[in-house]
Amino acid sequence: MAHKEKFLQGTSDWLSLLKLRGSWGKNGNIGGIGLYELQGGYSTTGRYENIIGFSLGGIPNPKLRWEKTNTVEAAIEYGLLKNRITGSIGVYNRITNDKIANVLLPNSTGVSSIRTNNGSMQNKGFEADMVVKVIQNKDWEIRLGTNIAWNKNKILKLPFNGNENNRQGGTQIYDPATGKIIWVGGLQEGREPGELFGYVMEGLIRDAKDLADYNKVDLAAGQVQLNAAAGRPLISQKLLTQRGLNPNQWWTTSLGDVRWRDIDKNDTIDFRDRVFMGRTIPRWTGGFNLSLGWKGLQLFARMDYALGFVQMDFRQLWAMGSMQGEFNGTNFVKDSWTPENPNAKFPTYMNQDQQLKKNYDRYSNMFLVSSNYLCFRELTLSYAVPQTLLKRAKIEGLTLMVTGQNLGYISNKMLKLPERTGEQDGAYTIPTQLVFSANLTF
Amino acid sequence: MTKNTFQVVLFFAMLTIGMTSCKKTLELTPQDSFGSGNFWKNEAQISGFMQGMHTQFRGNMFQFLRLGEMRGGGFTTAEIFPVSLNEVPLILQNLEENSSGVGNWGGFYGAILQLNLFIQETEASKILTQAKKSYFLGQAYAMRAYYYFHLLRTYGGVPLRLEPEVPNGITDPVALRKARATEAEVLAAVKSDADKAVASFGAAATANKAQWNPMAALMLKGEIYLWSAKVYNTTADLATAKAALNAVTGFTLRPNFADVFSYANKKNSEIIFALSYSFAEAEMPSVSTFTYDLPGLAGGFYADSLASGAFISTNPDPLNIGQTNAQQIIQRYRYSFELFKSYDNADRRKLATFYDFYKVTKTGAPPYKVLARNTVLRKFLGTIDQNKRYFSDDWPIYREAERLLMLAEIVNAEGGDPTVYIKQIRDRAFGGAANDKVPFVNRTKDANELFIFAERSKEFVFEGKRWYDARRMKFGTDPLAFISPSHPYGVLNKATHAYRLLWPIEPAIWTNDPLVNQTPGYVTSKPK
Repeated sequence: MAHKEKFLQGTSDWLSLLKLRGSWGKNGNIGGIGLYELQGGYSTTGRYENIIGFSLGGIPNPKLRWEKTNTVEAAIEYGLLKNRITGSIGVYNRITNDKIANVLLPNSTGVSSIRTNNGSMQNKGFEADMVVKVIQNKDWEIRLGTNIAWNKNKILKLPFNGNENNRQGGTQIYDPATGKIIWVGGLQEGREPGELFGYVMEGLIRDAKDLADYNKVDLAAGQVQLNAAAGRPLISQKLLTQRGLNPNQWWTTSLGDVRWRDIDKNDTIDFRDRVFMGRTIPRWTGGFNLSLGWKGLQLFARMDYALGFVQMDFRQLWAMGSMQGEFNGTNFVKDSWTPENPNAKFPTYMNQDQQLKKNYDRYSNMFLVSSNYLCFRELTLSYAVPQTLLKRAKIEGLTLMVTGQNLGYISNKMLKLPERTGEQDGAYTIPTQLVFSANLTF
Repeated sequence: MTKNTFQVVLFFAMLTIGMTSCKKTLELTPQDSFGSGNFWKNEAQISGFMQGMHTQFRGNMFQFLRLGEMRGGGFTTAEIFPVSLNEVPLILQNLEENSSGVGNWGGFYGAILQLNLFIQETEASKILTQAKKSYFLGQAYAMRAYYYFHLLRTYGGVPLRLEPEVPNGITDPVALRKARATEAEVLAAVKSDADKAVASFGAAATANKAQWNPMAALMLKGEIYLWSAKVYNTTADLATAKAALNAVTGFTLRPNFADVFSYANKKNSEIIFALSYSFAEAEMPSVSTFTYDLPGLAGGFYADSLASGAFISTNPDPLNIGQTNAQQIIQRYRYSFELFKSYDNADRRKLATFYDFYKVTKTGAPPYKVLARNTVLRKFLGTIDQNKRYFSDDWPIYREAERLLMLAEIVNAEGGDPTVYIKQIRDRAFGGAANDKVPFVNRTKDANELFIFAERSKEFVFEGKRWYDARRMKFGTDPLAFISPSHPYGVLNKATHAYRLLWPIEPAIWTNDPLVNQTPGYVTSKPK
């Protein structure tokens, strides 16, 4: 109760509450471990000649230790202007040691991963919330609330394995800053988990000039896998001519294909030309709510948001690449390149893209898009029927309500469920609901 | 209960808790499930584990087929139906680090781990009679040899793991790294396991032809030593192979080829070891994807290239496999028409193996123009139960026909006359020597080799042999897998793509284990 301290005495006309809070905590955790998991288990296999068999299912790990979490938190709670404005601001720093995680083992061990203690991770951030009573009198009540949180995860330490940053997993890309091939992704000391990498679509080959100018061999497209052209890699006409290659051994880029960004400027598009696309974990999360009351009538609205993360809806990619052929495309097909629609956003819509040029079928910024969203989560209108009307019916109270839930998002149109992160598959959206209700008290 | 007694009970209860709660690690064994502490305690568990390993073995059937046959030149990648075909890069030999055909070492190390554990526990077990223990170990060593033999033929050198490290408590990913052994070391391990299997079985009689058994172990030993003799030029191994195959006795060719695979005729006299399927239990994976696309077949195909009859009806469809509640039939894999054409019309294997049909422009005077020739698999179509198709034929790992053809190959390699073996195969295929208009005649070693290869290609469709055959069998000193003016079977250019005899591994393997290098010859992005 700092506002009662002497040195804050002169502030009482605006500072009505000030409380400082600090904490340190340490706890252990064995989250998510199954009942018999650490002992290893023999489970049944399918039948063979009608007899059930057994195999070693779970691998025992008798050396597993507790996961230990140290958390330091500090917060201020405050009230201003006779508590018309109240809220809190807090920061936290959580360090998890001996983090229990599934770690990949060499493929030849026959065990893909094992749950073990895998280094330390830092999880730090800040959280704030505030409620403002804008108006509060006999007939009116207007309250605004908001909260916001910022979070960042960092890997501090991983078990030594001889790799740079003791990296586990990961993939290689070209680093323009150093001119070298570097390892990114996976888990690395000093980096955040959940980083995604992909190719960059610079634009489309929209006209004859674009086509004549494009000079790339596209090894990332692999080889064409259909009929006559089967086995041929993809190259632009310009480069084919320039290098004097045999046109019967290559498949050429055409109008409506993607122009990929050549990060290492070697005229070859391959795994090196991927760049950081974003994280799977939101940096900012928060929400707003508004409540507005006038006599017995009340309106309540709630929104939430998350910022700073990406998502890819694989099903969108699959549909745009017409990967099965017998299914209809999505609406974005109308925005794909045709001679009549040269300014389209997407490349040519073509059956079996995954067997051809992979315009669609690769991790790229075409589908790995920002998942930032603002969701209109709830809107409620309620009316408390006045007592005077109720008395005759011997009813104590009656409140009528109508609530709308999940009313919509402001977010990227390619994502149906922006709350999800990372690589996802198509899903049903959360249903929008309209609920009518009455609350009766006798 | 009086207050006093209650206090006494409480006191003892607390004392008990106090005394038991001091253990550092949890060492209880669960009562209601099999943990590592209470398994391997009785014969039922050990035989149950062997059963489980066979379930898993059967689960790898399509991988065995893929590794053994798909690159063998018998497949085509040209579509007839508006349905794309699967695994095109692999069938076209277009294998690279980022298009590795199969991943994760074929998925075999999971099974090898189970085998390593089984061998360790069973070798140490004191609860089995000697006879049972030997039989179980014979099965396990044979199965492990079989998996590693696939790995050897696919990758050459692979990490050689003969102990269950992870279940034994080694869980550090760094300590578990293992480089690829040399091809010679893997071969030695495969031979050693096969020898141990044969020795362990001893004179035991086969208990069940749907599991690894003494005769199957001898077949495997013969096949391994034949491979060693021809691929690595260890000529002395020919004799070992021959002795092993000659020790396989008691099997006869079925008079009618189609009967070998028929559902009603499982475990017949020709079968040495076959994976068991049944309509009530499991269907053979992917057979249905070697058939036809029903919508594609409707309207427009004739049963012969002269278009002599009406269009093929699709209700019922010609092979009676298109029941709506059965596995979806489609053509995702297609054997080449050349393979179908290579059979003599009198060869009964032709129509027991394939069903052929044609798209014809029926205008003008015959012969009409043939637009498309298609063949689909008729072998291994399984059975009908309650009006529903089940692709549940057994899948032979070894059968008498292969024993005879391996012996033919050995005798030919020794410079002898293989006629006696080949004639049995031909006579059965043609339903009697009288129908065989171009019987085998002993000629040069190379000519005989090509004849045996062609015979095996016709005999073992969908049995996972042809790619391995093309690698093992030779014209001169080169494997048939190399393109050559002397025969039509080559698929790889020796000068530019000889390295593709072995398969590449995908980057995830060397990312997880930096000690593992890419297969020699393949371009890799692995840092030095």
